Amino acid sequence: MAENTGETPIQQLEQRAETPETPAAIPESPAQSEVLPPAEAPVKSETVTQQEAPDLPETPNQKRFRDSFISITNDAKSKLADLRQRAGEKLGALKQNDQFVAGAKQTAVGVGIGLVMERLKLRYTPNKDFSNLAQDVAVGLGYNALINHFERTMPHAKKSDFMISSLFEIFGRNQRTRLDTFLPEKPVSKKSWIKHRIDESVDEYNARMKLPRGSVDRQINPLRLVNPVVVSGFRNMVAGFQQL
Amino acid sequence: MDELKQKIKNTGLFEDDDKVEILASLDALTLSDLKELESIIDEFDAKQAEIQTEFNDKVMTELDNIDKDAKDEDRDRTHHATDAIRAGLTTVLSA
Repeated sequence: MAENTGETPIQQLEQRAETPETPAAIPESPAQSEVLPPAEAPVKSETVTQQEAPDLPETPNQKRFRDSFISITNDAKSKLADLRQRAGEKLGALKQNDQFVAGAKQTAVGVGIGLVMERLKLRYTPNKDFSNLAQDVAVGLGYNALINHFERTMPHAKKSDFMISSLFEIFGRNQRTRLDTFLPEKPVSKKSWIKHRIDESVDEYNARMKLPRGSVDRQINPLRLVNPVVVSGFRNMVAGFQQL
Repeated sequence: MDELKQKIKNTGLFEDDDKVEILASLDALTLSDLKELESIIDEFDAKQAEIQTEFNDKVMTELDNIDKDAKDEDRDRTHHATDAIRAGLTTVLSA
């Protein structure tokens, strides 16, 4: 486990989302990601890359697609927000159990689509046992890692950020998680169960990465925990947009 | 009950932490509330899928229109670019 700072590993990881991530090659296929190599040292600073590839003005087709995409996205966002609001109101009508109602209303109504970027669910590597750690790393850091990676490795990728952020924002939540692997058979204390799963996941992550116990927070590369299929899809979209 | 639990696990309506909370609270719900909960989840997931399909269709249509409007000398390059976006979007939304 990480050093005892009074915070959970996930809280520590989320705080680190604010800092630049260590660049490293992304997994090219699900099969390759079965064994995760240790994080690599940076080979090029982001500043240098940006100097080598300054953003170019948008082409007419890029502007046309961007404008359409954003308009379509806003429409989907609005519909999803309405849908979530209606579902929340219906959940609120389940009044037989106050505790349940409180939790459900908080989920469905209180959480606006635009406010949950850091909590969106992005499916991660096909490794079966990463559970909460991988999930929360992917949720909290995957988006930033993905954006940073493309901006470091593809010319003018910054112009494509709108596609990635939009899709994360409106459909990231729709990614199925591996929750079913880890839900307990019987009701247990939520707090103790989650802590148990996080502890197990951190230890397992360290073991798989061949890292000493407690080093996960410093060594982790969140991009490795993003589903390689999703990374591949975004890479295609970014590449296509650059050529448009 | 097992089917409802599975739906709770898979739905896009709840965050994972909330799914745990809700699953742990199921025994306290009445039969009618359980049915209502299942109905809410079914409706949400079905409509969310519709919104995603509509989103995908609109983006694909716009890409088709960009293809159609391309000048002859740009047609191949434009089509190559829109194809890459199509393939990427399909991959992301189906992952």
